[in-house]
Amino acid sequence: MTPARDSELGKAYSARREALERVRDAVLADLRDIVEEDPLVERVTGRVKSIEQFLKKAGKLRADGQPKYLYPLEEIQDQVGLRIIVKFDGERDRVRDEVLTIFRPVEDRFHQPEEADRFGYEATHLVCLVPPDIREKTVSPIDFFELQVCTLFQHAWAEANHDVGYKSKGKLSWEEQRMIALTAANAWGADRVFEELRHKEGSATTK
Amino acid sequence: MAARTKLKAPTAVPIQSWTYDFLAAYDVLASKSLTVREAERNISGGVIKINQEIESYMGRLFERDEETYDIPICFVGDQSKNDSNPIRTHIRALAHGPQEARRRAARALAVKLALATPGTTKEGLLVVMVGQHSGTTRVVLWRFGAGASLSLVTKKEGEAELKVNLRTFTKGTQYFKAALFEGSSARTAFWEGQVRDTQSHAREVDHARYWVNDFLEAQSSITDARGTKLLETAIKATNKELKDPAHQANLTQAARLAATQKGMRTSLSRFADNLLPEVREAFLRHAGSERVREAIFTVDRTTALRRFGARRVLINGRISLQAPNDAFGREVVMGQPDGAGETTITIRGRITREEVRSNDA
Repeated sequence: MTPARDSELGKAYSARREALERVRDAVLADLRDIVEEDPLVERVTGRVKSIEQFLKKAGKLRADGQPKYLYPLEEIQDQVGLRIIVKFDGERDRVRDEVLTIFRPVEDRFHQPEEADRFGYEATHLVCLVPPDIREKTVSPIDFFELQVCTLFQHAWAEANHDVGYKSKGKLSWEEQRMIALTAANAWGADRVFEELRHKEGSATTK
Repeated sequence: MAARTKLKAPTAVPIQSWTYDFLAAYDVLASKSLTVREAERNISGGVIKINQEIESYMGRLFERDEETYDIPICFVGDQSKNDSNPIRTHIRALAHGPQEARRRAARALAVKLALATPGTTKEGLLVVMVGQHSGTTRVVLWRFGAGASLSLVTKKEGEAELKVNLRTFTKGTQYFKAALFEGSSARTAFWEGQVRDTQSHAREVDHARYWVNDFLEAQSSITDARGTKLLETAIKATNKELKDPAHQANLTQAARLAATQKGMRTSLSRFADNLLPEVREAFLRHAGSERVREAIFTVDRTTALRRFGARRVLINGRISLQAPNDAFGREVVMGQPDGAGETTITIRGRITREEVRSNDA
């Protein structure tokens, strides 16, 4: 990305941050309204993408060297990102279904490494339309927000990896990358163990 | 080429701001429950050369105003199709694709419309038009019914020609279904649109099934639970504002009716139509913008009962306590039963009415 484009985008993004915070708060309030009495939901969090992260993403290139985002302000869909953290893996789909009673998704998938022998980021990943009432109330500059539904272990891994692994991408040795994959495998294993134990004891909640 | 009729639209609308660069029209026969191949045989038409007469006629309809396209819809990504939506893909091809891609997309939409059209519906004319203005692209689809002022005089692909019949102009412009999509060339554009159906009674028609769900594979832009929640919020805000008990009763009655009518499709505007004029006015002030007010939803019974419903508690078999659901935990606080199974209930609030009644009930 050229410095001029970078500066222009940075200004435009800064100008919308306040409105993005309003969107985040409104969506957060809706999500909390849905899950506030759910004992199997640990918490709901929300963030507005920082200017640095936005510009970094906006500057990404495709394999052919062309910019990945021609219209970053429109095309980057996680300017507002929210996460619902559930206690057990078996609750992800149920919570996702409840969320989709009030939001319309344009993307809905479970993110996980494609190869069976790899471990890494895992979460239910939704891109939803900002509903018309929230758009109006917040004077929203965006049409979409991103929502992840993940377990405590998936969340913990994603957070630690974001600070250590993701930001150092390309600088880590093969062995360091293996170690990070190992922690992801441990998180995956921990979810499996607790899910199985929960079912074994007949404590799985159908709510 | 057929002789052109010199035509002037009844209402002059400034349309010079749009540049029209694609127009296609197809006669479409109902083909629901037929195969795609059979449906393909049931459509005829193609790309139309835009002449002054057509531009003048269609340009007027192409212009958007809230009266014309009043119901917001959105496409929903289909997980099994890589989160895309086939109709949105056609709309995007029409908006930004090369001419051949546009032609294919328009034809595919005609086939889709045929497949969505039930046998009870007469032949219709699908018109697809694309225009550009200041970096924005607009795609509008219309389905005109029998007796419309537009007709295809030559239906062969590559030579298709539309004719405007001045004598039926008024009737033809009054009866159509339409969908409007607008956006930039960003890959995230064209997820939403607006529809209009003038072929049925606007307030009563169920847009969802045929035009929106079956043809466009889209949905109202709000979910049923969200619509119900917005209804409840607007009702509560209105109720706070109303002073006259008769007005309050009118609102409460309408809310209860909405909560109990199974599968009723409505919008905040439609709900308001059943209110007394003074109540309606107050309600609409709390119902949000046109876009929010016109969004269609089915009253979600679970949400409605939770939000509008009441909870009744019978104490010692002789004391009845009834309150709206949302009052529990606020004005009415119920403690945990003690060892003897007795519960302390606290009611806190201002007594607004008190009366003595016979104890027959």
